[in-house]
Amino acid sequence: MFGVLLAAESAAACPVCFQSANDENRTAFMLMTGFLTVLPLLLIGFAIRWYVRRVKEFEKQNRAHQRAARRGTFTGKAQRPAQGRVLNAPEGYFERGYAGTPRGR
Amino acid sequence: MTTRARTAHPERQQVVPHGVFAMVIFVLCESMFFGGLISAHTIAETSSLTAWPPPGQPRLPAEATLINTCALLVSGGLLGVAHRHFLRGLRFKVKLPLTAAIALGTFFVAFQGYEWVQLIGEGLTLTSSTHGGFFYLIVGAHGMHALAALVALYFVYRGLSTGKLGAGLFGGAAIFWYWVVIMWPILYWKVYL
Repeated sequence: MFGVLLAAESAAACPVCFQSANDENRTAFMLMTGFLTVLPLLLIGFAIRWYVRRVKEFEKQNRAHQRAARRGTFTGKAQRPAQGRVLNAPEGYFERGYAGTPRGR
Repeated sequence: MTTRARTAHPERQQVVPHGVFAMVIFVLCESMFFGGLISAHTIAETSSLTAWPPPGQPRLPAEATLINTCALLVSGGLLGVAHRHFLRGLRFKVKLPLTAAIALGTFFVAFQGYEWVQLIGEGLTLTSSTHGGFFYLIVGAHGMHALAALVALYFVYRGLSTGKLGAGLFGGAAIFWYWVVIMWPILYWKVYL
């Protein structure tokens, strides 16, 4: 992409950039074009990465609960299967009756 | 989800609360909006044939706003503490930092209102110059978001008081406030300095 920007600079094809007030303004046009091109890609990339990490964390937690259930080793509140509301629910979370949990509904 | 739907899909579980997911999408869209404003401001600033801010326009109170910026950053930190206590189930420890975060956020918005009154009195208006137009547009847009986030935090506070606070509401409101806090230093640097 930077290569394309450099090529555009040598061609000076954009009338806005070409007729800009000064060099600083011309550079600002270039930088802001790059900024607005990259920003949405970064934001979408961040969102996808965040969601994938949450899914992996969720699946890991579920697998651990399933293994514990197969072994029959549920010993405390912290090992209860995920209720689908929050990840890493703190101990006692589902017993407190918050909205959206079985007791708080 | 209704009880019937829940019975029909007993295996269905949420990875992320709806409120949090919706707020993440909203915040990303708003980041793009502010990206556009920052870009336009940069172009206008560099295309100015005279100095920026233009001669005859009042100077922005950068020092006083720095104190306000600190208040907002502390507010974000306090909300982080409250949110962490909530996720750990230490509900009795949530209220104090949450109240302090809301109070500091309210101070930030009120101080900005006071600053605007001063600047309008000194002659900086939306139509006085490009500088004035951009100042009120960018800072005003951020202020509106800060106000909306404060309303969301108020609902969190109310939910906490009544014992009906869901992870989605707290998570969503917290993400909104963090975004308001993170966005402000960037805008301060672009507009005030």
